Amino acid sequence: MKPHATVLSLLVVCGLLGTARAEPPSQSKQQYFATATKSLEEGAINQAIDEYELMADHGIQHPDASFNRALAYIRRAESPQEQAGDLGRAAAAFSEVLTLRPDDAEAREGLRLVREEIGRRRARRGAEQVIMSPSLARTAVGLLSETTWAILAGLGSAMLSVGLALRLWFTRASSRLTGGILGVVGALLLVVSGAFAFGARHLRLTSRAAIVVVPEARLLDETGKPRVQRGTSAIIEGERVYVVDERGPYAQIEWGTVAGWVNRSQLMLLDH
Amino acid sequence: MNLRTTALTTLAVLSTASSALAQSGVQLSTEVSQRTVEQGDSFQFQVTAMTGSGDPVPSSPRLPAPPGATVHGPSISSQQHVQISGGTIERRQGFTATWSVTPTRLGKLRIGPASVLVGSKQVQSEAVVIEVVPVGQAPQQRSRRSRGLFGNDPFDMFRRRGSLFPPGMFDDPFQDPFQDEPQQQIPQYPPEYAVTRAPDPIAFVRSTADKKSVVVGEQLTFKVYVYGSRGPFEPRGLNEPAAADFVSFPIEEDRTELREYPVDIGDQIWHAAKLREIALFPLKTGNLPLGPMRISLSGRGYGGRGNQPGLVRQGETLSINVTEPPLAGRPPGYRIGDVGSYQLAAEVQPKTVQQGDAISVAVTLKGIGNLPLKLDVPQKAGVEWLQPQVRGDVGPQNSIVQGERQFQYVVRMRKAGNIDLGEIRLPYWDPSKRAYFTATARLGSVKVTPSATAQAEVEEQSTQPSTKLSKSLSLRKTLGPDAVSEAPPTDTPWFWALLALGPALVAASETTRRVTKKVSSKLSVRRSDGMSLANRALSDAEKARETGDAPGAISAAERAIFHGIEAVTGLKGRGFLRHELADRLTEVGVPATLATQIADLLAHCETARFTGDDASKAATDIVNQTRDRLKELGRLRRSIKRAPPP
Repeated sequence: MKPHATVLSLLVVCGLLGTARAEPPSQSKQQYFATATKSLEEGAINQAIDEYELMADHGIQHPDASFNRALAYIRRAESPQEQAGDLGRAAAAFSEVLTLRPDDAEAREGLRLVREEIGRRRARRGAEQVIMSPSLARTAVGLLSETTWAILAGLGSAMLSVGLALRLWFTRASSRLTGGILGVVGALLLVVSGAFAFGARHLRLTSRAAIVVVPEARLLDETGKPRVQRGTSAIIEGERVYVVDERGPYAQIEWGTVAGWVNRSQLMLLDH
Repeated sequence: MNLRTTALTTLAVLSTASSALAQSGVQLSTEVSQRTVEQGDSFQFQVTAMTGSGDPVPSSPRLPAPPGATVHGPSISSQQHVQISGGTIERRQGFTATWSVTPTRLGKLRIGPASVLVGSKQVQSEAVVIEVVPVGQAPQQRSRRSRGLFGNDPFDMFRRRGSLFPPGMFDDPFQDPFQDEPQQQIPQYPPEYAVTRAPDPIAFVRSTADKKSVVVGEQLTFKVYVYGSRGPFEPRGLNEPAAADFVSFPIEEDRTELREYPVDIGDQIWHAAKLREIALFPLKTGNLPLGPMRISLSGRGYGGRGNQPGLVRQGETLSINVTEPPLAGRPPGYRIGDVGSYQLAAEVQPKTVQQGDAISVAVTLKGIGNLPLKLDVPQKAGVEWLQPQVRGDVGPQNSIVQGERQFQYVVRMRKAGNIDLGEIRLPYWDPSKRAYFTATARLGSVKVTPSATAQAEVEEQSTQPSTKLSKSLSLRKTLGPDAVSEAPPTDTPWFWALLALGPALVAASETTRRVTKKVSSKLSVRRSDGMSLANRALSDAEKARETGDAPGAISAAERAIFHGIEAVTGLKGRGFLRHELADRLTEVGVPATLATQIADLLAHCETARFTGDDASKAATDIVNQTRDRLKELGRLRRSIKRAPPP
């Protein structure tokens, strides 16, 4: 009974320490958010956008602030004060929410609606609809999160270890059979998940996700001249691209299977 | 001589296409500095707009760039004329706008018409056609840039050398026309022309910027000077400096005039002239280049006469470090590039309207810097701001870009009541005070009287089913839990090692187990080997001898010999009689001498064991002999192992 009481006391103390360490939202963050949200409620959309953007400029990131920023851009896009790229910026803000809080279903739905709206507006203008499928490598790696791949690789490693031990150190036939199966499955899991975890890490470290925030981002060559090629010549608003290099005012991007350069100011990088 | 020729040539070449229009009381005249120009050479296109005292002041001169030419400018100088005729005073006011045009294609080039705004009307000047010829084929216009049509002063041409008469009228007829002017005292020149060292003995171009580090939108002044050591020169083929990342405002008031100053550099007198003075506003951050300006000089000592190429010189490229204003203290709504010192004023009329009607909001923005062309208006429910009309102009005054813009808004009031319009705010960064400020204009309230029609319209709009995207998403009013930002485990350095650690540990354990087993097995074999047993027995013999156990030492030495024999030959030595042993050993390949020595040693052991005489000495002798024989047996065994199989 006594040991149980000790463990419980320790747990309570740890819990209290954890609670004490969890930093409450800073006052300035709350203030920024409250001011911007009040402006948005009062219909002062431009002011609200400025305040939410200022919050982001100061490095204060919060998924709910990004969500409201997206909403502010959508409202401006639906008002007479609409500015080119408003829906793209809304898509960027929703993507930021999903980067910060991947399970935010409302933001996911918002992003889908914004992209639909961009498509509708393009269709009304008679602009070409472009559907770009992501590259095979990114699709495969993106099936699971990097952490999940890492956990699976760890599991594979453990299974391989147990399998080897059973196979090598036990003489009973059933143990050796179990060990063989565990070893093979574990080795496969370790190799595949390890490779995907490594790939995901490599893509994360060598490229940055960004959203196109202009109606069309013209694809350029390395010198900044418009690229002359058949097929896709511009990336449409709200699309997610990956920036792999930056040189002067230009950013080298991957958009699905298309690679090229665009003007950096036409993108909003998703920092996290 | 030079000055006289200058004036005459200028008269001949500066063909003036002037016209006076009497449209809306405005007088417009157009002038060009040249009718025939070389490709790549710049010339001036000038429009003078004047109106009477009761008419609106002309403003906003515009000149569309024609295909095949680049246009820079305008530089604007304001003018006021007062004329007294017949006892009446007539005042006229206006400006002269000058553009620098550089043709890039050969052939006829049509420039203009330029336009100016007079009140709400746009008035156009005449267009002018210029002949663009290849380089070197234009008629020579010596010193056309060094003086205006009549110089700065119309009487100037009569005042040269202190004479009021035209040059040449009373000149010495025998004077060498090419003789240089008599040496004069160097007049004072502006300090900006001063240079301590000439980088080139004949001519050079110097570029300067008053600031090397600015923020986006902050003015810097870029100046380009040319210096020549061989007397007066005429600049030809000017290449404008590339400043693609800047908005530029030419500062020089009259770019048709290029004033030369004699400047002392070292112990030499140079002629210096300012080619450009431009106010620049950077558009982005980074180390932005200001391209070099290239110039071709012509004149005595410089070449460039007739078809001769002139002396070409080029300035250096400057690099301007452009940053953003600091983030600390940045007010909401600040837009990058709003830099200077601004003032806002607003007037709202009328103050009482009926619901659904519009009011007028006139906002005046004035100040220093490149004033923005757009203002953020306060948005309120039921208040609809339409796109504004923007007027006014911004340009350099005393080398500082400043001016005024008027924004005329029409605002529809859709909601009844006493509506507070709020205020217009324009945050800006003041580089002189290194701080942010916000120019504010309070708009006040407007009383909106209800209108049944307008109200019905508003209600109808609000009851219509909305397909708006924003309606399907609700605003978040409080901050939820913070995003948990955890680095993925793959970023931890031990992760990859840990993945391999489990299987590696198992494999290593198994390998260790197997190696240990193999080693112990080998050790066991080695331990049962005859020579090992022999060496161990010899060791026992030595120990026994040291402890004084002579019989024990002899016995152990005998055992060592037998083990040695067995290890080398496979013979069990104890199974043979002493006299047989030497023969048997010789038969299996042991050298006869060694075989005899071994047999003798064994006999010695037997004798010593049984006689017991001087046992200690005998034991020492036997142990020593045993050691020697074992060594020889060991050598024999190694030689047998090395020998190729029969």
